[in-house]
Amino acid sequence: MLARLALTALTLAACLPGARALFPDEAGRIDWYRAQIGAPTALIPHTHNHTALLYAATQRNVVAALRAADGQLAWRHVLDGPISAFSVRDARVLTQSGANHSHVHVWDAASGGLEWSFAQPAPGRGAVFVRDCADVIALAGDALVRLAPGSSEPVWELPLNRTAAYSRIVVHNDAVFAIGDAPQTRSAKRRLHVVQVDAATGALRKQYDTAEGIALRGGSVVVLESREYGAYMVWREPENIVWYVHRLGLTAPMWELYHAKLVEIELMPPDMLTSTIAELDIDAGLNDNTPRFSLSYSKDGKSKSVVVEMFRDGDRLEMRKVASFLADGSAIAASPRRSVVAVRPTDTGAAWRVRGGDKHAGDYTYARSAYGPVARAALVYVGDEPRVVVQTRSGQLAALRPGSSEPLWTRNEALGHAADMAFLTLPPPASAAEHAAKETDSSVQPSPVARYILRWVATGRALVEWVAAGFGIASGDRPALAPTEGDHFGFRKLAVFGASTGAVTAVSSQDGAHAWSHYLTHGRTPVRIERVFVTRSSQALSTDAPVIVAAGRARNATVVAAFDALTGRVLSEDTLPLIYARAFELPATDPATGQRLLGFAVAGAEPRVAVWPPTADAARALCAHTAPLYVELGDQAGSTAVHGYRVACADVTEPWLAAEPAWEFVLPAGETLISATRYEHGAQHTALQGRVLGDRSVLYKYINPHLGVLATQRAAGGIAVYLIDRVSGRLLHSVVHEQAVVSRAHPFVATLSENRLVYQFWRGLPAGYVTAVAELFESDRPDTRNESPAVSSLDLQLPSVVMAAFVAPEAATALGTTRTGSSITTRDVLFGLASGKLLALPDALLDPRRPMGAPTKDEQAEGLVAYAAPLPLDPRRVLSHGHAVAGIAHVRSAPTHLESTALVAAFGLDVFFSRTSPSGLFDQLSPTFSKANLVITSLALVAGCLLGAPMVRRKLTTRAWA
Amino acid sequence: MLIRLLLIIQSVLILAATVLALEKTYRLRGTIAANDVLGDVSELATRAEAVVNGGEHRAFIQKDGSFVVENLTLGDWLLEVASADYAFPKIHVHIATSEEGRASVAARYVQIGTEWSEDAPVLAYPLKIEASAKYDFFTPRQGFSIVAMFSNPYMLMVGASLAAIFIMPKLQANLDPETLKELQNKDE
Repeated sequence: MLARLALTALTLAACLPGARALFPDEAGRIDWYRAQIGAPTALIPHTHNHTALLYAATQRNVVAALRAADGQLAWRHVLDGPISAFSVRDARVLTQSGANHSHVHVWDAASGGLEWSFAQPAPGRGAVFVRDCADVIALAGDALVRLAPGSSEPVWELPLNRTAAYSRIVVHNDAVFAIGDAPQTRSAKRRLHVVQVDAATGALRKQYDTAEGIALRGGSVVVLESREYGAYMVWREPENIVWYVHRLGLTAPMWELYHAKLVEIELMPPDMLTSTIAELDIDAGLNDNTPRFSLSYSKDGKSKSVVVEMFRDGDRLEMRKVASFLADGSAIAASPRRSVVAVRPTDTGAAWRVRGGDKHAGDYTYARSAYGPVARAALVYVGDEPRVVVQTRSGQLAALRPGSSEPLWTRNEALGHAADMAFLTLPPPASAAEHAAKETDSSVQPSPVARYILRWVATGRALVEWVAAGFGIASGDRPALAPTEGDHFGFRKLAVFGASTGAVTAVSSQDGAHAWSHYLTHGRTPVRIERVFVTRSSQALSTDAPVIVAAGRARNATVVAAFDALTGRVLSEDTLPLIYARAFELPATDPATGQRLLGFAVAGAEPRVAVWPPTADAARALCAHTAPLYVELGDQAGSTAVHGYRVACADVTEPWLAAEPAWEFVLPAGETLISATRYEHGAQHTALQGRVLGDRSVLYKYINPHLGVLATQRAAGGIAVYLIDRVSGRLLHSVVHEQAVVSRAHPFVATLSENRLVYQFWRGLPAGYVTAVAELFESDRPDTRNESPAVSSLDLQLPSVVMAAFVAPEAATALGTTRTGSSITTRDVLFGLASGKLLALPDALLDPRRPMGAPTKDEQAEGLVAYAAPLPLDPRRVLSHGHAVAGIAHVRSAPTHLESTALVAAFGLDVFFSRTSPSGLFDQLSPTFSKANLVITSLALVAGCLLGAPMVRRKLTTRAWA
Repeated sequence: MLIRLLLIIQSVLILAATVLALEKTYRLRGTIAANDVLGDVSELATRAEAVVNGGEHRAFIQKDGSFVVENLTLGDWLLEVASADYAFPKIHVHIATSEEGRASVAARYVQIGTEWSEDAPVLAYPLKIEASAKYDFFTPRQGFSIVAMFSNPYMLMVGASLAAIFIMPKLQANLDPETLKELQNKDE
């Protein structure tokens, strides 16, 4: 069997078209990779071996260490679910994560290596280190456990009662406290419930209620942990100006201290009632002895914050003011030293102040419209110099230092939340000849003689440019260009991302250089951007700027913003009072702006399509320019029927069109939709109407731009795949995979291009992942075409489908297909693998017509190789080479001006861009081709001819006289 | 009657839920061992994961190369080491219990896309896995090669043309005049 596999691999290697593998010097030159972590939910500074690090837990379930000096990742792990606990202590990092279960992981803080882990079968609610040893106390579900490294069983386990939702654990000396919210009942108000447990044995010592009317989250209570003084809770009851300080475990008396002027003596009762408190030492490791918290209040119309630390003077517990800040919208953070930092918004960005220990201040100049207001801050010391790390709402991280308003480094973590991306082709840099073409336009320069002279001057100038550029005819790499400047080969495009954090970010596809950003909000709420469109593309020498539109949801509205793609300037921002089911491009342009129209399909009792730009003229333009428009609704996961609607165009007076029911595709009983796939923009284009077989007959491709693919989960087990026509609702083909399993761990992924559908699913063992390929033809007989007189979805015959299944090398999280300008080049199928590889497999390998036995002469002539089930994981077809591109959720491709070459992008968490040539670089010179040698050789030949000519003449003369 | 029926249904549901909840789970332990391909296993700590059934269960790899996959039930599993840099063999893991109730693990190397044979040798447990290859993602550039240059078809054609131009006249010159005359007559 192994020999057979090896033989198959050899045959494939010998027969398949040679996709150009990457040369070592191309890595990092034709591609770029950015490891992302997502927007942090906690930032903890820590210094290890004189290296200042910033540890982050993020919304993308990532735990990571960033070097404070340069912002680079020291290490990173993508965890299996939301992070419920995060702590750094004694060169170790503790995380608790998971959705329906929880994993406690303890990492080496310097290297990120896993030291030990423990799994619990319930969602995590908190975990902390036990001081002075490596043990961990963790809370999962209602079980409190003590875990020790190297042990597969807990040291002890204590089931807690369900009278409270526990979410906080405190360990002090030999006691463990679990604190939870006890719900309001008929006999009791909302309150906190405390359980005290013996840390060594897990025996329940005490449990009691305290802090009436208080919830753990809500800015009314803080938990302070001090190695020396013990663990305390500080709160103020609602409608009460008195602060209570309760030492955990002591119930008689219940509070050790209560006072109205505990923190700020200036504060008057009315201001006190609206004040909030917040913990600053989010990790108890930050400050072992004198824990700090902040009080935020308004006085005389000004927002202020006071930072206080707890200490003990003899027997008396005291609170001491460390610093106070003007605090309108401030973020306050503590450092392992005594210093605290506050960052507050200003007209030019933000201003920061460090107080408490040392004193520093500075500004951060940035456009709030680009990155949003400050959300979080951290203070870390590199040597003795402070670095203030500011996180904005969009997910941008910027490191600041005293004396400079420019950030030392930035990380745009919004890209880690990207939901969609659009490629914008940039106009090539206008050459002298192109400028001349514009200048010599007869409307500009009426004199024909002047135009003739100008053209010659421009041609000469272009020749000089060409020579000066080192005969640069084959190089598309011009790193000196700005991100919004294109090139002659179309390699440099603008990639515009829309993120769920509200960020719209434009970067260069060539090198990832940042072009512009915008933070899109609805009121103060960030818009959850889901789609990005190019509504007006670049035109060479045109004065109309290309336009990018980002659309997303915010509360009960849809926000659509249009940007000048080259500058990021907002051209318009519309709030549509609707919740759309699907956003899509419409086949018409707006007469007023020349932009492509967008449609937002709204489901419900009165389905309709809202047109953007939201004008009646735009809606009328749609009705005037296109054939009847069909739209389907109900194709989201969980649906049991898909409904098609025909857009009605009668009496258009509003920027929306009513949708009339046209068809209904009801799934068989017991089936629910898991995925719907349609052509990506332009993926249906083909250069060849058919496949030429070995005997020179032709199988005509079934190309239907309205093809839709529905994948459903069957109650009886397995999945079904339906190919439907999205205009008529007709079922074109269906197939059932009875052993397929689709779940969160095993997603169904698909890609549709030309007449080929490729999808992948888990089929259980021993098959593993199966890649199925369906190729659609007009007929199963060669040289036979569809008989319909007109090309219409309503008349199309059913396609003839050829299918084959292959065993995939690894789990895929996204599929895509390469796209080239004229679709002449063969297409590679792009697999975004769960292991972080972007694999490009050639068309020929996934050909469903591969013969089961040795190919006949005709089959050989057609280029078919013998079928073999396993698809090889050839590392030379891994476009991402050594990069582990984490969390690939989308794989996209865009054509360049060279037919051989396509741009590819993979994103989700990390971002990776590259370019590939599925059929080799047939239209480019090799990078090693020496143009100088060519010129020198040509000159040498000319020189040889000139030198040799007299000699030949002499010889001929001599021969004639002989 | 209806209440009684509902109570019976409730009891059955509770029993089923209890059985499901009590389904025993097992840990799978293994170690990635250093070999000639992978000398330092600690470099895998942030660059690889142990993956079971393509992602149903995952485990991070510790600095010493060891890993523990949690929550596996009785049955067949496919264990892979997902690494950006190294290829590892795939392992079929069969977890079963003996009559005494003790769990046993039978692990064998497998090839994806083939039937899994029980004839393959069983691996020792805890598993010890070695990297089978380091991925080579690149194709080295071809430098200048005189052999490659002259094996180019165009160069061969040029060579043949040169031979025809320079060597044929010499051959003609060496021919016997009578033979030459005969050849010329033949041409006529």
